[in-house]
Amino acid sequence: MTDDPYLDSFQKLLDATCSPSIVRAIETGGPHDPLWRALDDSGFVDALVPEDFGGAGLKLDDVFPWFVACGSSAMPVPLGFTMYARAALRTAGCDVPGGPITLATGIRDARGGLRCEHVPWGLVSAWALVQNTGDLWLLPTAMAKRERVGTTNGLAANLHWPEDIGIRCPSIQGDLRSVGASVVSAHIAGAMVALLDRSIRYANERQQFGKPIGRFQAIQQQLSAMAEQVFAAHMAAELGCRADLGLNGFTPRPRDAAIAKARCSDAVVRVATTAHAVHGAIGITQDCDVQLLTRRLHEWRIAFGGEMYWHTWLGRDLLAQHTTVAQFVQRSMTAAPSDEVHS
Amino acid sequence: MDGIAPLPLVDVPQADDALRAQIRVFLRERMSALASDTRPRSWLTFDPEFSRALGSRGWLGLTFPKEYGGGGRGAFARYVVAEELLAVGAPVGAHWIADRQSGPQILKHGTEVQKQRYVPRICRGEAYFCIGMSEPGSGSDLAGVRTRAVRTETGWKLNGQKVWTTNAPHCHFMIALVRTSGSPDDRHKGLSQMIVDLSLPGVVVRPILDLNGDAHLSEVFFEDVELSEDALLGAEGSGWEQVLGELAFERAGPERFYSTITLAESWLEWVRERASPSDAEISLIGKLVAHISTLRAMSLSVTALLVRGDSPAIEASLVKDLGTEFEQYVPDAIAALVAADPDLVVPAPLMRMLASVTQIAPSYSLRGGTREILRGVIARGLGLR
Repeated sequence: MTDDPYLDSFQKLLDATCSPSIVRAIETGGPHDPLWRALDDSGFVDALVPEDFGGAGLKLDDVFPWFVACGSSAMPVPLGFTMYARAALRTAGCDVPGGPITLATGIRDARGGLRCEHVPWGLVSAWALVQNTGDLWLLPTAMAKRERVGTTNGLAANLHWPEDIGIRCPSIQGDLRSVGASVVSAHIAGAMVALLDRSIRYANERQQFGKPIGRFQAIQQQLSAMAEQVFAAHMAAELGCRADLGLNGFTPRPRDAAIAKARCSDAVVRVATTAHAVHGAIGITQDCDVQLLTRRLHEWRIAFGGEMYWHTWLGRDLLAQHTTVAQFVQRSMTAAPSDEVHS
Repeated sequence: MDGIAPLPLVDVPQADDALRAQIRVFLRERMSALASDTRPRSWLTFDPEFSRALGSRGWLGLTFPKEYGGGGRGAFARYVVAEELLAVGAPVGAHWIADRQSGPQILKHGTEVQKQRYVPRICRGEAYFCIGMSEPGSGSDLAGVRTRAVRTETGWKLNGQKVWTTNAPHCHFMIALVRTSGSPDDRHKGLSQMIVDLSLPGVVVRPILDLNGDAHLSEVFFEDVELSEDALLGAEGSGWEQVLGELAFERAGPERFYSTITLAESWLEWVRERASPSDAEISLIGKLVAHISTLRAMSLSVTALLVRGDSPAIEASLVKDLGTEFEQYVPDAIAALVAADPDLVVPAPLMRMLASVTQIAPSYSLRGGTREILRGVIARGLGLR
């Protein structure tokens, strides 16, 4: 229980509808419609849609803990992305299609088709909201060539629409790569929190040499270092989910998103590696839930750019201004709406 | 998660953030004379004149009550001032410990007489303190201290030795953790905190040169030092609990991730001067931003917990360990980049700064609790053991 009643009921919904066995069933090709219908019927999917447009009018900051909960549950459908897409489409005056909507950035191929790489939930989404340079397109995934890019049971895919098709969505403000980075970062934080929790529990249960392995300093030191990374990622992700109120309530500030994705992606390998080290051989079996989470961490690290992409992005951002590192950091962390002075 | 909840995001209140402008003006004037390669020493550099200048402007004891000469402001005001000072590597060593933890410790546990005697002088930048915790036989295992204060007719008689004390040769007072009853086998029981006037007969202070030739460390000997009754700080026998409370202040502040910021800034300045930075340099700049932003958010969050009256010992340990890991990464990454091209012309002052920071960097995860001890604290907080 938390002191956030929305979060409590959201968590209850996930506990009831998104158990590891349901996640596995969907990952192995089972239908995701029942899960999606349950999520959609709950009304949570319209949380970010402003009240004037028939939604709950919550802000990105408010739903950050939900994204974290989705990450912890190894959510097999793009709930967070659809929440954003509905808010963006409604406010832009576009029709909102039913079914899960994933987000992607894409490039045009030589024949005018559209190509999107490493799209999270690409295999289970009905639609994709795609940004190509300045343009936005809503595209049915049924018309795309879908190629799995994850390992067995992974849901990420390359999507390729050979023809120039889809619905053009004008006047959506904000940058989809930043949105994707922000939402995925919160999912990374969630998966990490769950992995840490599991690893601690396992270390306290698993006995070797006559005592729980969590009593050994070698294990304790590793779990502490893991916890540091998890807390850092959670903090960065929270920074990344602050709405740019100068724009609207559901779009992050690009620099926040950059910091979040850089830091969260940076922590992925260390966190996943330690979780596996603690779990030993059982952790690399299909039956153990650890793989549901570590697989997502590795996938999400890559989605919407990894740490190197965002480090470079941030480095260029800083070099474009005549400022020190410390002042750049202090100014960009201030919660006031973007008042950047490019001196 | 067992024991620790994820840290909530907090922002520096605007009224406190507004302090930056005036401090920056002051620092711009003061810092131009200081050689850039001494800046990473910052809170190890002892400069009483600088401390008094801060005191006279009301920037010391910002969180202390006004009746004792303090600023009567919140923890975030102090955070802003500390951050500005550290960011430019200001020579804050004289007052640093007094302002950060001795003053708060006296205000929390001291008698009215002690508060009146020490706190106003701390606020003026005139009384300098050091911390007497480590001993030759008692480093990480602090409960094993052997320095002993024995009751006399008039107060206490102190015998023993402290070591690795920062800047003791220049300090007026030490708050020492000493044994007032029992033996080292009694561990946490029987320990007390004493305010020791370092000018008293029987106190001998010797500087210890560090591997850079710097003399900020020292050893302090006590031989039959007569202390008055009111040298005792807080309750007799409560030394261990008092020290633990003090450590949260020591571990979560900005000095736990800013130690190498001046190296990063100097390197950045040089990168800017060259026409076209390499991809690796651009990437490192961004990585520094991502890490500092996150650490700063964590450190601010722990500060908010302290303000609320919580004792976030575990969270503070977490911030310190991560922060010092980052501080140690900075010289590592910069050395890799300046050496990526043997023909690159790098200014000698920058290389000197890099060399001295590289050499001293291991100390960041020793002082204020070693990495291994902190990780033990965190493990316990996670519910292991």
